[in-house]
Amino acid sequence: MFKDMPFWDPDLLQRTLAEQAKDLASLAAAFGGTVPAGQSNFDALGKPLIERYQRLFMPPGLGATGGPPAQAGAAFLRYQQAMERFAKQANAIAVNAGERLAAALAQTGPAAPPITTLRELHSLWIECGDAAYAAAAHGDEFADAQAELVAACIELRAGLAAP
Amino acid sequence: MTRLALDPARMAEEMAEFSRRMTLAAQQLATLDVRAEGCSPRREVLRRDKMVLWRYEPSAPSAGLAPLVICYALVNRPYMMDLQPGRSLIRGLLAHGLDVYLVDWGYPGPEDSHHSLDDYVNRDLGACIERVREAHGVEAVNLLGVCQGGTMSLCHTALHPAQVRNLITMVTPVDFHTGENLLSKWARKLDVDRLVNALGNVPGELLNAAFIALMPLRLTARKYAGLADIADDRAALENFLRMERWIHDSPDQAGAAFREFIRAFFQENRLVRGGLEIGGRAVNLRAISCPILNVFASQDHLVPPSASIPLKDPTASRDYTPFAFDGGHIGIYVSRSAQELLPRTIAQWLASR
Repeated sequence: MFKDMPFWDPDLLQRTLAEQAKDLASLAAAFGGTVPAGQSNFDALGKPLIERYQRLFMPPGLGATGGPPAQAGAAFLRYQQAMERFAKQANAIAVNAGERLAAALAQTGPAAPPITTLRELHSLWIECGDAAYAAAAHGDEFADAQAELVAACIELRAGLAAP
Repeated sequence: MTRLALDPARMAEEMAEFSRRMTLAAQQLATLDVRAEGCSPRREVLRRDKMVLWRYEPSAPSAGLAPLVICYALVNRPYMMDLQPGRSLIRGLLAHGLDVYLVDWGYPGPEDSHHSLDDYVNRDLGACIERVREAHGVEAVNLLGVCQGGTMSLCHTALHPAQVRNLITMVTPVDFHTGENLLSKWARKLDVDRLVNALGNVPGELLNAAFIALMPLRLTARKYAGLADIADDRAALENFLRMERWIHDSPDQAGAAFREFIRAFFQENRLVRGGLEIGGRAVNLRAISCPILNVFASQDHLVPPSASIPLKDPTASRDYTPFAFDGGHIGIYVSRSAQELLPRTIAQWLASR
């Protein structure tokens, strides 16, 4: 219990709250003119989303977050492949989230009031991110990839437990 | 980007202020020690293995109704029903003169991995209802099932219809295969045999991760960013922490019951399709003829209304009342609007039967 709860772990709490400030900094960088050359605003916003989505895809409680164990090579390979499959999903979702954000920012009219603060932009970014995620998460490929990752984690766990 | 009207100088100020307030929130949270095991006086009336049946102290003259037994889910902890003064469905029910009991399933350990749905639905819930019937000298109780506990209550009522006078289901999945049910879509692909065979009990953290994954940014980034707004409000931080503690207080799930529940309900949808058996006995919703109040939340992301609403047809009840609460799966217990509305709705519905 409470193992993954930020408020029972001061370090995790600091990291969790710092991550929110980092999100705002990413938004400020993306829309404040400091985006690295060669990147669009929305590319710059994709990274925090991808990190979050991928973190979701590492189910806790299955003991499969360590480094490559020699005695569980095949299982670890399967786990890595399952993670790669999810990384592709996460990338696609992040791209879609960026497209949704671009479309939302381009809207005009009474239903689309001006965005004057970073927090308003943050809120819109979250809505677009979750909408893109939901669109993917309801699909078969997502469910298949998730089920494969759980199965791979279990196999890896069994491999690690073997003498 | 016609909507963007961000001023660079103001953005810098906002960034600095946000960071300052998040630091303040972290400092404040570190000083809080919120216990969240319920807030209303109660006493234990039955204990069996990890399960405890609680009876709450009355807070108002009795309404003269049959006692109300609340059957909570196996997932998460039941103190959500009595989180704190001002956010307690149980306090609201007590204030209407109801005699309230709560089934608390506890924290299954490795020794409970063979605990089956038969154990939970027939033996344990049955023992609770039997104890309450004996204590009050009544033929039947009023049964209120919450979320998965509602599904279990439906099964118990179908198997033991004479024990239940009125049935209330809250945010209860009935049809597990409706289009909006994301959790069900994921569960259908799960190799539950492999999972349970490998783990014995299923870790609560795994279920928690699945619940958060339903709306990952809203349930993490937005929630934590909101701390900046309440960083200097100690009461609000305590509320936040109490809720956060509940969210992460996830009991492991007894492997045998988890396997049965995923397979029979999520994967095979047997409650509505038929063919459900618990403890070797067929569970047929047509065996339920008592009055039913079906409370669902119109914005429920976990148990979408489409999963709850189909309770209307498969039972034999001629007294079926649907009630849509304008809120979400958690707001139905703790939101301000729920505090007065739900206890009154339940108490009035029971009183008129």
